[in-house]
Parts: sequence; C-alpha cells; structure tokens
Amino acid sequence: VDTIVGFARNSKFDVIVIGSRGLGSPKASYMGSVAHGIVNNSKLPVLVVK
Amino acid sequence: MVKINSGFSNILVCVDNSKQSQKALSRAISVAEKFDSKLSILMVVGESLVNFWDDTEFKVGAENSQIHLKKESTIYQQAEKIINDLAKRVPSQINCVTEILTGDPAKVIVNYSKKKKPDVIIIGSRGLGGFSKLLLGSVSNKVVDHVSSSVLVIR
Repeated sequence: VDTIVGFARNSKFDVIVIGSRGLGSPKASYMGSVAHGIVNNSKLPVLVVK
Repeated sequence: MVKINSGFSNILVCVDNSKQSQKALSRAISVAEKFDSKLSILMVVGESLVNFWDDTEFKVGAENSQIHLKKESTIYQQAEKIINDLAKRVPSQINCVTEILTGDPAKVIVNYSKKKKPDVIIIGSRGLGGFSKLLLGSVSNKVVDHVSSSVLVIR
C-alpha cells in the first residue's frame, strides 16, 4: 500500500486504477485490504474496478 | 469468471453541497463526454436533516421501503435547487437525470446502484452535511465495499 501510494504521489498521476480484489484474499466478501488502504490513504482519485 | 465491462455507458455521480462533489461532477462530466455516457446525479439527504413526520411520505410498494421526501417540503426544495444548479453545468449533449432520495447515504447509494446498475459510481471521498456525519466508516468507504459497480473516489 505504502509503495503504491508513495509512487503515485511522487509520479504525479491523475488517477489510480486498482482491482477490488487481489491475490491477498480471493474469498473475502469485502474489498481487499490493499485496495482499501489505497482508497483511504491516496491523495489522488482512485478507481476501484470490480 | 469475472464479467469484463470496459465501457462507462452509465455513470452515477453522488453529490451533496460540498466542494468535493463539485469535483466529482466535473470529473463525471469529462468522462461522460469521452464515452458518450448517460449520467445520473444522485443526491441523498441525510436522515438527520429530515423531519420525519412533516417532510416525508411513504409510497406504497416502494422498493426497500424507501422513504420519499414530500416535494413541497423546504428540505426537498433546497436539495432540488442544489442539484439543479449542478445539473446546469452538464453540457446539453449529455443525457442526464437527477434524483433526490433520503435515508442513510451509504445505504441509499448502494440500493440505488443495485437497481440501476451503473458501470461506474463517482463519489467524493468526503463531503458535507449528511456525508461527513459518518466519520470513520465514511460513505465512500461503505459504498466501495458494498456495490458491484466500479467506484471512482475523487479527492
């Protein structure tokens, strides 16, 4: 999470696009923690793809 | 298998009276222009702002026992003014509808998107009024968790 948020901040992107579920927890009914962390910590708009 | 949906033909943008939602709308407009999408502007009036007895009415057979605001109530008129002002910014070539609902904003947005199945929901990360009342588990967080559409969270 930190890596992505930091990278995005330093590289001046317009938007972050991320899948709602990754390798972390395929069976979790809620969004993966990585996506969650990014949505909450990023200063950029985030597009969560389902 | 995951259904891959690449277009943005239906956009739902959730607004309130905040700067954030203005940004969300601007973004929604530029996306809608690119993809020739249908735009729905949804405003949710927080439960706490509504006088239940005076301002609302039940509609028989309404889905999810949605409470409807009376059109003549002050709060509805205020909301209507805000949403109409926002809608004025939408270029005329974009097909745009507006809707005002009341209730818990996150729940209402989730239910609405279940019904309308937009391809993407555009929402500000934090708003005013009804939106910011919910501190930690903010509306956008809940929405991101519970809808089956993609969500673009604007900052």
